[in-house]
Amino acid sequence: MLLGVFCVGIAAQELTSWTSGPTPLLALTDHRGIQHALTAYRGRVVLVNFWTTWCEPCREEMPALQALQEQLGKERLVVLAVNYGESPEKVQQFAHHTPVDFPLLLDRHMEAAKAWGVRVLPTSFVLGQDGDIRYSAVGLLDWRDAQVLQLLTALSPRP
Amino acid sequence: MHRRAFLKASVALPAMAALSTLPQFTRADTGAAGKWRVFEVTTQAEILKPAGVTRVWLPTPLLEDTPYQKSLGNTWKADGATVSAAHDPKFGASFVFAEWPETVKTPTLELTSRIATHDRTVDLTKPGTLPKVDPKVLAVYTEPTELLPTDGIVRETAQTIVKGVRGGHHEQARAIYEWVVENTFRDPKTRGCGIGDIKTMLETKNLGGKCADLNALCVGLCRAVGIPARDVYGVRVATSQLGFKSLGKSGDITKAQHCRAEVYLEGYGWVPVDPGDVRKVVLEEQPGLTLNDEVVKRARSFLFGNWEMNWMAYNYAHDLLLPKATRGKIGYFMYPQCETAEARLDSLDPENFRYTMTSRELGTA
Repeated sequence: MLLGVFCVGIAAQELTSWTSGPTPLLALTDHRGIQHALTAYRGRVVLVNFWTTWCEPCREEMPALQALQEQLGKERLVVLAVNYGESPEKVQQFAHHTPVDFPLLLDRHMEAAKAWGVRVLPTSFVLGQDGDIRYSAVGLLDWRDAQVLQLLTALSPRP
Repeated sequence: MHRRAFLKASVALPAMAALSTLPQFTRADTGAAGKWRVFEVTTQAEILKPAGVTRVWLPTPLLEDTPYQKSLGNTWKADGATVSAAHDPKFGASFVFAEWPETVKTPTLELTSRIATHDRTVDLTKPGTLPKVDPKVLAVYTEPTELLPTDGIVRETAQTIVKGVRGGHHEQARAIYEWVVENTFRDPKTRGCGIGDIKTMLETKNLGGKCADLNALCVGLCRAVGIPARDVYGVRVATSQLGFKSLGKSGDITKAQHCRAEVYLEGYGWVPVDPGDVRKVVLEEQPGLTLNDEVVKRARSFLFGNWEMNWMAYNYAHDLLLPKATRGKIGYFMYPQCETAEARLDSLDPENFRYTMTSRELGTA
């Protein structure tokens, strides 16, 4: 059962080491109709970010995620932004106004959010090259922070 | 919950009752002898992008008559739909359910409800002798729900609040009410009325939210120390006559949904409370208010034991599975609900699920 999530303006102070078990499945279509499965991104760091258009901190985070993607490059880091429950039209509209260079996945029935135990938006997970979750962040995180960048760089394949 | 568990009540509901049928009341709420105000609330829901079979559920006023609200009936119109009125057996949450076949391209449901309301006051200095309430009924309101767990951080917080409080449930409930007033804040950025995920609120130490968050926190904390408590979901139907500009809405009430709360106290029965509205007064009554300002003090004192009934109660339900719903339970039922073959529509997204609500006062009785 998923009854709704809390959108909070709290800042996640840092990435928290993950100790809560194996990585749930994630296979969704993006707003352009392209299928994405986590397994396709083995060998790269994957940042899974749960968000919605009505969540202000989520929207605030997008440019930083885009900057992070550009800084590390797609060969080292994949950002998968999983939209929580909104229509494809809504997400397309968002993409039109906020162009980002990573897929906006559609979790229309919030089943992925449920599987990943998301109760707060935004929530992010950082997966290592082996597909295991290494870190999580509940709330808004400064993805430009030097320490965050250092952790992600250490996880990612060498350029 | 299986669909058949829902009790159909369509026979009793379609016709509007005449205003002269207002019953007489004899109960502990001390104000029941005064005037009753009669309101008519109309909800019109329209599905802009139907897909396959479309289903809409609209909450209707409390089924049970109370010393503060009587339902005077519901009527509805939905061309091309199969419509019924029903209620769930656990909480008695009543609603109108409409289902359109794929061939209907612009499903529209209009529901009109009439109620009579009476301002609610419980004199907390004079415990009375009330009829014994079935413990099984009260037990429902000490149970945890999906978003109101009563263990872990919720219980620990509640126990900390009531530690050292002299007296029984009355004093403990008051302590919890005061704690919620003092430690939470109304966050204007919260979507709709909030979610009411109190465990996450406490864990993240983010005690901001709106009525469905703040009052749920009060309810959950009470339940965690064994005090029966419940959220009462509803909608504001008129401006305040008590001088609180922020605590009322008339005319267009499309966004005026509001959740209140009740605690059950021996000798007093269900006692109305609303710490969420105290925080609304702080934020909205005028700029720069704090808990030390007179208008806030007045609201804080009033909203433990009193409700101004410029508001219509729907139900007390949590974790509700609506009949024929295919997308799981809803945390609470205060907003119109809709599902198409593609998805459950977002009640707060007017681009896909448009609805309007209007209220008018018809007079007094």
